[in-house]
Amino acid sequence: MSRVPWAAAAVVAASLAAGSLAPRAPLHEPVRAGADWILAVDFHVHGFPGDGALAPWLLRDEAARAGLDAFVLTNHNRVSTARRARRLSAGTPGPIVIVGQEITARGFHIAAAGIEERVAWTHGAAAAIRAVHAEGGVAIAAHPSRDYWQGWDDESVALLDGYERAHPSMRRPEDGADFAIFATRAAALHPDIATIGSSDYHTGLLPGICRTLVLAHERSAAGVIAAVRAGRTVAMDMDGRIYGNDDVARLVREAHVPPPVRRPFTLWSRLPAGAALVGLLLLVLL
Amino acid sequence: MSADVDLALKPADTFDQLARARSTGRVSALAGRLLLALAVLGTSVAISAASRVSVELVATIAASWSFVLLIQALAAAVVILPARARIVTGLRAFELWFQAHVPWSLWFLLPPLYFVLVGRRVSDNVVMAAALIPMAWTALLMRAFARRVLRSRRADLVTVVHQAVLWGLTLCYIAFAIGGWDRVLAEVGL
Repeated sequence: MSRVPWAAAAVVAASLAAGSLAPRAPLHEPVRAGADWILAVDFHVHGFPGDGALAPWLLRDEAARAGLDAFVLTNHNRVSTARRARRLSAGTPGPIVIVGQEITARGFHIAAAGIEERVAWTHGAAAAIRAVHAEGGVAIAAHPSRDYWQGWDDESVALLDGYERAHPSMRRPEDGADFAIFATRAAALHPDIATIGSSDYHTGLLPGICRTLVLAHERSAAGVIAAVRAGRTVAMDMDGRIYGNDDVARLVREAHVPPPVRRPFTLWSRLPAGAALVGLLLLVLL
Repeated sequence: MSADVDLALKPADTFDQLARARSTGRVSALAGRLLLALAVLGTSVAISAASRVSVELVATIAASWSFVLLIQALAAAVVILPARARIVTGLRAFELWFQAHVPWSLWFLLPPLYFVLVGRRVSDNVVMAAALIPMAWTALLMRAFARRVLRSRRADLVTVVHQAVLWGLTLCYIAFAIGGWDRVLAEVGL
């Protein structure tokens, strides 16, 4: 056998080993605002098994690297992955894992946070939101661009606890305009509604690339859910722009909360990643 | 270039040569093929999802997504095991089929390589559209495999059966992952 495949395999192994030696992200300390906490939360994250790429413990690691204090695991129409993620995270330092579900139906998607059991998605948005409330959770309109308006009548919008105001799809101007229209409608029907920023993380970008800054009385899942219910949130987009509650926005600006990290690579991550890919290409081609 | 590349570019002749060169399989050779496929899968997904690699990250992702190889193996089993005229053992047939990985390996490796080199992601739409290339290419490879290794006189039918099983199982996972068959139908406009 030629030496090339062995050399290429050695490059791959060495690259993975080098990547493993990269310094771990320091544990994020949330910002205080008087007696309250300003917690960085991503309310819409997908994991494996599901259509997210990462298993729950890897997801939590990435959330920590992104400087999140908590995230809600919202797989489509199921809560099993989220419950497993919470169980695995129990008693270990790192972001708080909150059980959620992306209630996925024709005409509307809802990011439900703070629930325990799967919510039915076949009876309309208002029924789904009431079911979320019955479980003690909060319901957030997910990526409310016009493709997802069909299921939102005034009754269901008025029942919402929050809506996504910052989302990666806002990079498309037409979606950004749609989000603004939905924001106006939501504020008219429910003046204290919470503004939410979410990454909708599946594979690309990073968890927390759009995020919510939550003014919470306590640093816990219950504290996060209570803050959303009370509208004590602002949404932060990829460029660090802030949307929502003026009082919370002022506190966030005074606390100099940093914007999401956008740069995907450091020297420690780029070199091993590139070398591993080149090694694998050599294995495939030579 | 490797025999794998020859097989991707000249499938009929290369399958013929490889099958004649050795008719019995080796577990170690098949394990090596599967390990390479897992490494490609784990590394490319790790870079796309986390912009980094590490032993833990790549191994965990590879283990999580190893069901993709199971689906490939099941679809291959449906056409390999009943093929009575094949000129190699079942193990060797699996080995040869997993040697036909180049189209999908390139599809997995090239977008993250572009991302690492340029610092910008290839858009999801481009990646998904580009998947049509390995899909069609692999169907052609299966047709050659059916003719030259399985010695089937109905290679087109074998190819259709293989693709139907493969994409049927894949669609089942997609339906599970994105919220049910209703959503699958909605995504295709039904």
